[in-house]
Amino acid sequence: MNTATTGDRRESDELRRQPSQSANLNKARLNVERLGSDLLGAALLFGIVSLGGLIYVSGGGAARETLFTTLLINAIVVVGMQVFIGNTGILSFGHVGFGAVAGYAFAVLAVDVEWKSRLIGDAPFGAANASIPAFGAMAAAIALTLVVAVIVGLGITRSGVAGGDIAATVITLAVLFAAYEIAVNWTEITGGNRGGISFRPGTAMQGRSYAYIGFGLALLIAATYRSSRSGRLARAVREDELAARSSGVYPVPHRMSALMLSVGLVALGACLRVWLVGTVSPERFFIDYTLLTLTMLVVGGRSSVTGAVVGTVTVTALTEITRVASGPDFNAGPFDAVLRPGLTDICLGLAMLGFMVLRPNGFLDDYEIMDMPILRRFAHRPDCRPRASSSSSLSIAGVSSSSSLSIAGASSSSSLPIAGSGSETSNALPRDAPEVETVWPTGPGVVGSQRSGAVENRLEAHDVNVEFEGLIVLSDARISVSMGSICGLIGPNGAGKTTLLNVLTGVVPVQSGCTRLCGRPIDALAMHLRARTGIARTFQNLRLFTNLTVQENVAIAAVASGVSTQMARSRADEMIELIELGELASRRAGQLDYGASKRLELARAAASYPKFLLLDEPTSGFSETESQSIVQQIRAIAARIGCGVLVVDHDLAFIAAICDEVYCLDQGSVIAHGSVEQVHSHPAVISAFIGE
Amino acid sequence: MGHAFTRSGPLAVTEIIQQFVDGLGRGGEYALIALGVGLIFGVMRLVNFAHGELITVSAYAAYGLAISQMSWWVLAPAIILTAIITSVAIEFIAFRWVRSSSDFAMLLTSFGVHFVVQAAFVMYVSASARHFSRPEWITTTVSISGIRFEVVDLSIIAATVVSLGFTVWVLQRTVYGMSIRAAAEDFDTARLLGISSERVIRAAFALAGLLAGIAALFFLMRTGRAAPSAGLVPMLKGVLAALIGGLGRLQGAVLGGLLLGMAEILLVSYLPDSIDGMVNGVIFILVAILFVFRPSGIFSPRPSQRV
Amino acid sequence: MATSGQLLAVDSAEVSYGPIRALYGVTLNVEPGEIVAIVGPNGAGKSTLLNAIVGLRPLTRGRITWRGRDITGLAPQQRVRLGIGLVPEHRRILTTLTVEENLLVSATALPGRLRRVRANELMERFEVLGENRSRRAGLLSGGQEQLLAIARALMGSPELLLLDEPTLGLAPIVAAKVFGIIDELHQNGTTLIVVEQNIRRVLESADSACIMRTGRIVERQQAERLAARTDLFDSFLGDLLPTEEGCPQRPVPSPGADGTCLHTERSASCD
Repeated sequence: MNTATTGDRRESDELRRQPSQSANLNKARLNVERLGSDLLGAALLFGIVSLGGLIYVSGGGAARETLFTTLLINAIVVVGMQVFIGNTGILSFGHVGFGAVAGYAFAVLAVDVEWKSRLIGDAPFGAANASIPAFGAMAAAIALTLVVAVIVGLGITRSGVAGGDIAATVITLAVLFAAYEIAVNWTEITGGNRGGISFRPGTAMQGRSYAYIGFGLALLIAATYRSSRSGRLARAVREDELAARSSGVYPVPHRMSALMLSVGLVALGACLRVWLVGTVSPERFFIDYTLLTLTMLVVGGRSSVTGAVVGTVTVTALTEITRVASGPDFNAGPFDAVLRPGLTDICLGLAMLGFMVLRPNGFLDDYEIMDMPILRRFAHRPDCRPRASSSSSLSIAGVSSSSSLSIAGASSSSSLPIAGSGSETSNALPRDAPEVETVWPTGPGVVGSQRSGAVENRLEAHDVNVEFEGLIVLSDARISVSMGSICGLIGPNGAGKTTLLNVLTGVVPVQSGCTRLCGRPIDALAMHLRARTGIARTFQNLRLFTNLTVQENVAIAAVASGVSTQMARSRADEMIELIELGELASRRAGQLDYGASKRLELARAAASYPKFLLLDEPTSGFSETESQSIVQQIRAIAARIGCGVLVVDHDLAFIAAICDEVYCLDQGSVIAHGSVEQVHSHPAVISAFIGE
Repeated sequence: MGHAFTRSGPLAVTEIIQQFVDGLGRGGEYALIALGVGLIFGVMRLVNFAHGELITVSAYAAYGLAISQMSWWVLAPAIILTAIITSVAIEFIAFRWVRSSSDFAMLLTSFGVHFVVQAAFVMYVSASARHFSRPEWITTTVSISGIRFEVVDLSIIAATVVSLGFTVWVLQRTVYGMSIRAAAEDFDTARLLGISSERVIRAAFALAGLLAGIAALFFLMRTGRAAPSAGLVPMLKGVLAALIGGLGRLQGAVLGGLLLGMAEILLVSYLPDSIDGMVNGVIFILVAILFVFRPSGIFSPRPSQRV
Repeated sequence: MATSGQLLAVDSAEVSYGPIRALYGVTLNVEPGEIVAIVGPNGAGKSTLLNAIVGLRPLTRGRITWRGRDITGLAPQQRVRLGIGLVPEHRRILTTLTVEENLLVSATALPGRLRRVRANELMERFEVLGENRSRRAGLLSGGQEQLLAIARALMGSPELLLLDEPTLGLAPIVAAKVFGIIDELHQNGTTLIVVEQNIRRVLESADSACIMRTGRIVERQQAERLAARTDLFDSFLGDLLPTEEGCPQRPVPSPGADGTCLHTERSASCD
């Protein structure tokens, strides 16, 4: 591996001279492959459902025809809901409410004027006299619904950020009820509770072609979004919002884009539904339909597009059976009293309860059709395992700029223990700002600007004060870490070490004093912006994206810092290699043991190539041997990316082994600062921290 | 526009006070429901959409007793008792299985319970509403310096104050309340300390049931109506009130309920007649918009999470 | 299995998390008054064993007897009332309750008045808790939390106290204090089982030690004897690196100059 890397690096030198062509080619090919796999999955799903439907419908009867069309339309709605619920993890009851908006708008616009005058003759806004073709009406209805969704979405996405997903869910429920109340009471335009709005007989949807188109479109959008950058980031937020934010992800835009696509699809499904049935009334888009679609989604598995389709088919079959069983033609003998109309609703409710208790992630959890072992071979499924040739060739295209070159020597020896300490690594070069997507170095100017002691290469906290409920946690704390050095932060429990990390990363606001990165104040920057300017961290208690793979965990952090997707993947491969998790790259993070999880968190923090890496108790819960091996890995990573490191830990041996300088904090203030030996023998440190 | 602007100045002041009291009465009901919702949320992070079913079931119990000519002196304790029993039963049948599940699973479980109960009433009792007689004194008013108070409003306000005080006292001062909070925070640790968490959580549901029962009592006195969906809108308003006040904060839940009631009374009097029926719709929209500006409710929860 | 002299007997206990087995037929006998240390790498099943003893993890096979009585089927709260206390890993303080409330909710077997007396006793004994009695426990520092966790377990005056990583994440000076408490409890006759990463220090206090690996107790030894085996120390630690099934571990570079330094530093700092 080592020789290969060095060889590739030489190649990379050649590549640098002609960067644009090969890099872009590489990028394009990767994109096509990835998208190809997802589209193939969507196409397969589409094919299977269509084929099944054709066979079912050919069995005869208009009833079967209608049932299958309904199934397709419900699938559009459910897949649409999956885009939001699956990717953001926020439960929404409101999608059917958005469907009501679309359905009514569509009906009001599409029904011809003369027929409409009988139903809602005095509709306001000129709606009474407007009649446009079905397609135009559909487009207008979807557009209107999206406008409504933007406004409501601001509340949903932001409340999720501030108060947890539950608040967002309750707001969606309010949306559903608001839509219903308005549909019932604003009779001028909705026709009220009784009649609603219906199409002139004979003008309702004929045939299934529109449903097919819509279904295909839904699968396409859902599959594309799932593998898109925004989709990945949305899922990272779903897994652990704090960790995602401190990796540089701002949740709102990703949740919003998921919501928009999702509502768009639901609106399309709702229009088709209205068109197929030929009428719209408040009850059609209320709790019953919400329950139906949500059950479909959770039965199949909300995290997977395939699951949404499977759930739709399964639940449709279930409702069909209960409908027949509770109908007049079915004689159940003694059970007839049980099998009454309404059975379907109870069964849906029980199905939902059963799944929530026994299998809350549904049949498929997050497995997609392309994850089936048979299909995997045919599709180019992004295989997370680093492959000897391709991963290293990726890393040439990917590894960012000057740092990788300057570290060439260090990193080739990085799998061996590095004996030297910070003095060697401090030769690392600073990198261009990570938020700029730069694959190639910006030139010698950057190289020249580096001096480890200079203000512009420091992360500083200056006289910071923080107080929680009257408890002084930090008082005039002052600390300064320079790029290229490894700095320790020790102190008794409650001294404020973690709080200081929280202050530097923006989790906790300073009450007075200031924080600076490279001389610029960063107090006003939100957590995700600080991450993007180059401050990454790990957490005292593990905060991994447990349902994502090891590879995804690392790649997402890189993506969030602003680099392209494939570069992120190559960085992820590189980092995973450094922490020796290569063989587990495609495992879910939740399946790792404790030690591996700690290392993965380290790799995730480093994947954004931060200027400063803040590690909160990297050895807590480790045995001595494990501590020793993490020393090597932290060194190797710091050397590879040339960052400064701030380590909080209690293990003095570990601190002594890794740090160039040490701060000791007690009761919120720095009581000692200097080399390890100096701090270790400082009387204040001994009495406050080390003891006899 | 509504009638308010046709009055003269001094009368308008009494009008405002009048509406304030009306709003408090209406809001008190929501506050009681929100208090129960908030309590259950605090105990197991569950937003109980089935909380409205306590009202529904109580309503049918009241209907059953009312048609056999029972007086409200019998009905009142029966209603409250039914709510308590239903609350505990729902926990026993459904919620205890998802106690340590994700928020997502719990939300859908409570939604599912709501649905199954409602569908069962539709299937096996009646899809349409049943009516029963309301107590005579329900429309009685007392007049103090030109302002007329409905007795029922005053009793609701009093009941809310007493209930809130009682709940806070139980939770903060008694060891039993501490146990509820302990089990709420960490189920396993509570068991390690010797707390029978099962029993404690069941007790919390009983307390929430008591609060819902009191709300149901006043609600049924006002409406005299039992229907499968009777509890739906009160539940939603209670949940929204709890959310406005900041989920899991009991004082917030009460304030949220009062605000909601106040807003509703004001909308009833000032909305244009043409969209008079849309009070609920407008309320829901206003709440949704409120969250654009105050994403975590008016009284945002304090950050207690350690990083 | 259990003779009358034994306080606790774990007999071929097995625990599974779904398809993954965490304990394979663990047998452990504990005499009254002794301190048993349990050491081993992460993922060896040490915490699972403690959780199984206290009842948080149901056994899939085997049984646990307490003073000769089978307690395998009892719920945690019932076992606690029999006199088994656990100070859990990561302390698991109830952060929304105050310090005093944390103590008051413990030991539910005691009547309310006695509970308050006992809580006051403990808050006098651990002064830092008394000083913070009405502060939310979530605002305590890690060391104070650990004291609270121990005090909480002591509320019911347990005969057997299980400590899971009691010095995890604690500054050396606080860790020393915790070991001081352990020794003191030992002198007062409390039986203790301690899971601890700081092997050297825990062996100083313990009477005997069990080495666990991949869900089994592979060795039980007198503590002094194990501590004396310094030559074996490094090698078995090396062996004991995470080797859970399915998680292949690369061989770790043999500790060089840094590694030796690590050892002396660590033992120096912890004594």
